[in-house]
Amino acid sequence: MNDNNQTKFEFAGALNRRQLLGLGGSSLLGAALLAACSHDTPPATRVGDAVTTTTITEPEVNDVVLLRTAASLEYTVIEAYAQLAPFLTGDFASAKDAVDRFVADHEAHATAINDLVVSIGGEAYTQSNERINRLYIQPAVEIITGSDTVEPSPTPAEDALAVAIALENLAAATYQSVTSVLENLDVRKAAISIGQTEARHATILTRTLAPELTSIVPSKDPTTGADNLSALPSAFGSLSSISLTIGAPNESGTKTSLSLDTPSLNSLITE
Amino acid sequence: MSIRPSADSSAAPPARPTKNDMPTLVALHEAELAARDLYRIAVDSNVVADEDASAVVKLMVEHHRAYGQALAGLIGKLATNEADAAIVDAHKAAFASTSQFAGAANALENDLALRHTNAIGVLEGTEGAALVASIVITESRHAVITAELNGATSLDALLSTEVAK
Repeated sequence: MNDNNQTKFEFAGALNRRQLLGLGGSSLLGAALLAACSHDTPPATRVGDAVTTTTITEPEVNDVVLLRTAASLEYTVIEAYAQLAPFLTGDFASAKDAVDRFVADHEAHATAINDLVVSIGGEAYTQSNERINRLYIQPAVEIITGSDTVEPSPTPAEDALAVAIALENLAAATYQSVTSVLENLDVRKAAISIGQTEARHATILTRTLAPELTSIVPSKDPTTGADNLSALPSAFGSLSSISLTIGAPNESGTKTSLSLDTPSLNSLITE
Repeated sequence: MSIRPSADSSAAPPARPTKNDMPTLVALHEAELAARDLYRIAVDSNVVADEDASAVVKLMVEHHRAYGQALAGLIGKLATNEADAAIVDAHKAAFASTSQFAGAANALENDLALRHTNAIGVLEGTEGAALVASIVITESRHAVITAELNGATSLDALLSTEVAK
């Protein structure tokens, strides 16, 4: 196969059936005419320097990589709790007991995940996820504490709890999402076993921050139309972005919003 | 989720449920319909007087009905659309009792979470595993809420995965 044919083959492969049908009869006729009139001419010569492109090798996403990434998330949550716990004072001081328990759970989860990694031939990973720290944890903490450009939050305890809820939901969603991607069935079961514990953590923290019975069932803020915090936000575990609204309100009364997503290719911990 | 297995993965699991998956999915389907029916008994029996708590019980009916429907969609013609009679019989008296309802509901939710978790260890098709995983996550949340409705306040009680009450 020469280069031209290779290009044609790749182009055809990039179109799905619907797109091919959508090309229409006229363009097919045109293509047939052009093909009938064509000669085997070389492609036009290029003038100037063409930028050389380098194809980035996509990392192999296997069970080891997914589990190492999950382990990194466990350490991320543990480290985040260390930063958030000091804010839990006043009415929310009792939440420190839950934080202590959840940190112990996450340490156990990290160990269990790394045991699985080793059992399937991988190398354990015992550090937090740098990208998730940088994208989510550090900005959230800065919004609570304030900085040269950010007013400190007037409700640090509530915001720390909100961050913790978001992180537990992120962990639960991560395990949910990898469950169907993992190849090893025993590993799948172990992953969702941990994921459901993270969901329980999130629910307990949600009830701490929003203890009214009305906060169990989903509802919307009548003024903004935004979803209120709910202990049972949806029938099925959601893999959508997790919205986190914290910090000092701006002039129009709006707080800062962060959107947390489960680890993507850039967050994977490869070997 | 943007993570997918590598294209050159040599043993990519099947997407659709396999023949081996069907008995497991049918059993989960029937278990969910049993849960739906049990919560309906609780609603009809007015076991929860508080209006806000009653809204929670009604939400449980809707969630379990949704799980039954989603599982039926996955298993197609093999869906019986019948509740698991053993589960209903085991719990129906408690679900009609004001004093026993929340404890029985907590045991049921933990039981369902365990059944679904175990199912994930045997389901070969990824679509089934994905659906069941999404159900496990919320049924775990249900377990915490029903524990709270049953008066639990300690972390151990709220996080309990105990099935038998």
